[in-house]
Amino acid sequence: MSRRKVLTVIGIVLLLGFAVMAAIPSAIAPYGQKEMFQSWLNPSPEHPLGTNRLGYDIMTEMIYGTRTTLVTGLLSSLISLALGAAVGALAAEEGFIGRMVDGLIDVMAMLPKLVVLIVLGSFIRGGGLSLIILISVFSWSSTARTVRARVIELKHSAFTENLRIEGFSDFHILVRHTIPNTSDILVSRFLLGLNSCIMMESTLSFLGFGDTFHPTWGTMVNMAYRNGAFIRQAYAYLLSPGICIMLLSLSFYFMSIHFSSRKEEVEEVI
Amino acid sequence: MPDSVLSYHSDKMTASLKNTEKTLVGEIDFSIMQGEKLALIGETGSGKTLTALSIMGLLPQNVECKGLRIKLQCKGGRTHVGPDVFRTAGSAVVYIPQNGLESLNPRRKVRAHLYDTLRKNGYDKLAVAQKALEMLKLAGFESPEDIIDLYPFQLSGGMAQRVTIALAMTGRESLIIADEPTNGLDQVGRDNFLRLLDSRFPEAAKLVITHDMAVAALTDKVIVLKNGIVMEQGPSDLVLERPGCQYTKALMDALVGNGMKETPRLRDPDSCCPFYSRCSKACSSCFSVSNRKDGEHVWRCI
Amino acid sequence: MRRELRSMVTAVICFLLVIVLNFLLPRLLPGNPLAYLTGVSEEGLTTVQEEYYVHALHLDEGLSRQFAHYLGSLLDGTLGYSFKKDAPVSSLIADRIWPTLKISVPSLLISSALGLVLGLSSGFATKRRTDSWLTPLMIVLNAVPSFLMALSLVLVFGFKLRLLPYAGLSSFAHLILPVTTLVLGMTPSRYLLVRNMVAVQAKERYVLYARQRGLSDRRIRYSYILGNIAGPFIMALGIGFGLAVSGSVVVENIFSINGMGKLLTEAVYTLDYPLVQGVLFVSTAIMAIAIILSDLAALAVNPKRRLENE
Repeated sequence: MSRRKVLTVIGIVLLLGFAVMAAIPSAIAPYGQKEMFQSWLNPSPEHPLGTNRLGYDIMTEMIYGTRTTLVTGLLSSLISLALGAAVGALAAEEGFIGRMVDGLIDVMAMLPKLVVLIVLGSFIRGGGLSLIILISVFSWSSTARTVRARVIELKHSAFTENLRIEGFSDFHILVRHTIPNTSDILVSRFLLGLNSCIMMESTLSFLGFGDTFHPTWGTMVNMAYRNGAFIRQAYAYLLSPGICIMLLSLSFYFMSIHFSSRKEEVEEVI
Repeated sequence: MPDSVLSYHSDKMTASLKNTEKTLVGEIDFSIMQGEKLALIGETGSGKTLTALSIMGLLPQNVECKGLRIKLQCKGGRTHVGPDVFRTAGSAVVYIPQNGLESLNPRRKVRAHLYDTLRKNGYDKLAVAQKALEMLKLAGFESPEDIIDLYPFQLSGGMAQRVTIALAMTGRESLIIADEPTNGLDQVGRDNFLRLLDSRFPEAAKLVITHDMAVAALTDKVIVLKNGIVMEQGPSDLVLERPGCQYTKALMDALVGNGMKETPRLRDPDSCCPFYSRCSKACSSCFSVSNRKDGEHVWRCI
Repeated sequence: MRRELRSMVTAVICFLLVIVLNFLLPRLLPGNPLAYLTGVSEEGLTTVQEEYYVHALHLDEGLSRQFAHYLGSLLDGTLGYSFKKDAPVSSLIADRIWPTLKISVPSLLISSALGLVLGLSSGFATKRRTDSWLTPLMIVLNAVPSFLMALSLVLVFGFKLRLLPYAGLSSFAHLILPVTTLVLGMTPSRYLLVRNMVAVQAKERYVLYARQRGLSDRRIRYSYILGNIAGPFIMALGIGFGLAVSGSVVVENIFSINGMGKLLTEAVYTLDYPLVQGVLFVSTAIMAIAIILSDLAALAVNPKRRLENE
């Protein structure tokens, strides 16, 4: 099998694993979410990752956290994709509007995202949903750039010229021709966007902006860190959510390789 | 009988695309003696550039040359065989590109280009400055100091071409490959260029790639390629006087001097001969065409 | 000219946008702007105190006048006042800029240099191909979240092996782990960027001609290709600086370094909004300056443009 195929398969396998954990956590997790044991137990066969400050099994917490992490990432990247596609298509217009929107894309791309999100996050406290929206609002710029490039390419293609000569309206061309021809980059950007949204969310959660009632993996690391996991040498607690994030990120990246059009070029993520 | 400087044989060159292998060039076999000029004539896509690249080992990634047997006898007496020949690119085997402006590095001065080549060929730091100016002078620049510190974008097309000629004077050049050097030149220009090659590189073997049949008159040997197949090959005077292949004849007829006769498409193509669809003398014998020979003069026609 | 100019203008607009954002945020969000500007909630204030604050913060005046006062506070160097810490924001930040620079500047330089050298060797090679193993390694590295990287390094080198210190910045050895974390986090994207640019150049005619002249891989990489990617690479340096400063937020927290990043999280924790906004202002200013400087450097590198201007 070619290397690309191997990577795609690994990606799918990992993804399926996580999807199952997200869909039916109760079937996989060894214990219930609120089952209490002794706090700060070391990893053992009964508790592969140990227990946390309140005595909850960490492995269980992680499996239940899969859903929150995935849903947060999915929602923010979907919103970001929609925003990016809309702005990108708008930026492809000729004339003043197009150039203004194009400039907007450049400005948004240049903002120091983490710092801005931290600042906004401190003003707009609210946990889950507001975090999702905030992340989406600052993640659409690279999608917009890609969409803009493709729409411009399509606009100048011979096929579109012909359609226009034959009298089809611009709207018709947009819906029946342009949009279907952007589907491949939309899928690829969606997967990459998922990647960066999950990274951003986990970093923000690690810094304390996450919702502690529905902890994502990032929030778990924050809780571990704040509650002194270092001192208690609870390394599994500290590191395992991060490792899961890494695996999830890799699986999306491998899948996006499958969809990328150019074999030689490897996308720079983030 | 002196040994040839370059003796080349390749069974075929193929390109691998997705699942298939396409043959780009068929069997080619030739040799060039010291001081001899061989014209490799063909239309775009006939395989002439690929042949040249195969001598230097610079074929594109997806192209493979099968059955390559190549031998190069260098100026100093050393002989290189097979893939060893590739290592002599830039010293014993020199290449003069088709378009000088496109091939020079836009960010490097002429001086830097010359120094790179000179240092690669073993000239030490003290000698390079002097030698660089000499090379430019030999290439036809009257005041080399004026252009040696210029960037390529400050040169004209002709000047860039002369720089690439200067870059070919490595001191060890045994085989010169000139890629379409006469494009855009008139008869006088063509004459001058080939005469320059002769005077600057008298002992080197020269392979001149061109699509212009008229160049054959100025070289010693000629190979005519079409769609990767050798249509005719032999000493230039014989081939020009009595071309055996209809394709060669058509090429000559198309020359300005001969009236620029057209070759319209007359019928559907057939794999028997690449010229089948346009040949004015095609008939049923074409389907079983094979190589014909008369001494050194070889051709492929009925 | 267009590309660098466009980038500089964008940087300036970015900076102005942040200024405006900082002004609008406390005033547009639901709730009393007073709470955002002082960090004290309304219930905790007596009417007298409230009146005092409203007047001191010019909230009783029109929006445009408020904006004027706000710009004034930016220009006179105070950047607003932190009531929580009872000091002008700028002085609080000034103390903390140096540690941040101390880790982010070396990280940027090292990661860019690494990315450049490794990217060149992977993007163009006639023999030993580093691309086949280096690129996958970089891809995996890129997927590691910064905090995981930092925590792992601390655990391995700080705790288990007890080789390197991991808190504070009191000696040179203290720099090693935080800088390593940042470098490992930033190198993959620099590397991939360079690699892609080099791979594009490798198909150009001048590279083929250089190979036809028998020049060595090294010569082609550094004397031929590098010059043609220098401009975009230098521009990427400027943008990378912004990433380095952002990245240092996490690193400073984990390594207990008293830089701007840690100041930011502290300020968020204590709801010291003026300070939070001040850090955003300074970070964006630093980023914009870095981008403008790098764009100017990129302009200077291009001989064609230099000569056109003479």
